[in-house]
Amino acid sequence: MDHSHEGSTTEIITRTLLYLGVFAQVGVGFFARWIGPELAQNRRALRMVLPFGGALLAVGSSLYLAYHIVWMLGGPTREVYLSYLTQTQQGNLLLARVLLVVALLGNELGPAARRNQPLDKVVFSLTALALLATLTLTAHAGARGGVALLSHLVHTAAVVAWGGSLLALGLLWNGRPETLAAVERLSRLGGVAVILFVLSGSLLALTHLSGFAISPPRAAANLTASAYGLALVRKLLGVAAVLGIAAFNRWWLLPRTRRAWLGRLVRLEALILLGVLVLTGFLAATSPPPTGLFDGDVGLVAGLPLDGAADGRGLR
Amino acid sequence: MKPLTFLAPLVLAGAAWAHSLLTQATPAPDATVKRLPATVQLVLSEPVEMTFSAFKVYPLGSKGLAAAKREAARLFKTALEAKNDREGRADLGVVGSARTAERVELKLKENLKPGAYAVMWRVLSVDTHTSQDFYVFIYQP
Repeated sequence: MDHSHEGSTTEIITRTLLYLGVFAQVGVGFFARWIGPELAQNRRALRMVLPFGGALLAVGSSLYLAYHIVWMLGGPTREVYLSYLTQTQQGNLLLARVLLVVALLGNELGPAARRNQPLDKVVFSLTALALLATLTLTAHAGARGGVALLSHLVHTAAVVAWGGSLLALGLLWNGRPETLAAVERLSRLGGVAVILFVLSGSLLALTHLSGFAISPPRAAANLTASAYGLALVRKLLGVAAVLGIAAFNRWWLLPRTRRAWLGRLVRLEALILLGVLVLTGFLAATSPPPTGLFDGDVGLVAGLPLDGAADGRGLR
Repeated sequence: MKPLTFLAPLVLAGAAWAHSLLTQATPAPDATVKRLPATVQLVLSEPVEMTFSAFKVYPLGSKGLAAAKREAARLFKTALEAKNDREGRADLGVVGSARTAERVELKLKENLKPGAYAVMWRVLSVDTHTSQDFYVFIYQP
């Protein structure tokens, strides 16, 4: 039985923009506090582009994703939209996300000196983690729970801290000494972040490809023969490209202080990272391979596009 | 590199998204049962948002399995959208009031006639994806 259907491009684009917005907002906040506070302070006007743009993208794409889901389920009337936001778990998480984005933005608008205070760092960390949790709970991992849920949160936090800082560095790069200090800190963070996101990402992949429940050859087949597996492979190739450039920067250019080349490659790394975000949007909108008891046995026409005015609510 | 290059794959491919699938059911798909249970029980691979999910059981009359499946497939195209159809259905709705669930129980009406029955559903998974499906079982005392 084929459960797939074409037409989820809207969802992929919306999810990509959502990830990009959260990356930009949380990443620049992390960068301004731990990676390049001097650089962030000197280029404040430019730095504010990321949290503002990120907040706009995160809120806009979240609300549009809700609209898209409601449309899929029977028409975007105001009542149904409000009902979705207030009566579903994912609607509540979406509202929480919007509030957290606004809270983070408000925090970024405060005086720069406040960002050096321990209390600000704690408040930022908790707010950012809560924001990332709203993504985790509405992802594949949110439906699976347990180890997958924790792995997804760790994976997202590690990637956002490192990748978001990389985006911020790519934007704020000016080649001055304070820039090199930020590169060195980001490089040190990269070492820890890579270990964390590779381990948590491997756990997630094993979970979604049913690697814990089936034989290794079948899990490998899921990786190469399923739409989810192929989307994962594409994302891994993108990640490998980012890590390759990061390693070159870390172990070749940084010790030799080739600032001009370093700047170009940091920006290239950030650009490829944006590509990886697009591939992550694909992955999030692709169904992991099914392991259901009735695969192939149930129904005849499942996966029909859900457009149209289907309204089955009120059955309960 | 132009930023638009990154968006190119988006217009070239769609993606699968049937995230909550049936993993267990009682009565089972294609099964013939001698005694009709009080409820139809479905277990899905992921929890679903109950407010935005629909579950129905329809009588298909006295038919063989193949004919019942064809009839169910035809009915499936319109039945999930139908409103005020309680009278024509074989179920009395979902038991319980959980907000999200991966185990769903549909109470069947009493004194149902022997014949084929179609169980159909459309669900909104907690990971925000939708899917729909159906199966057929036969009651033959």
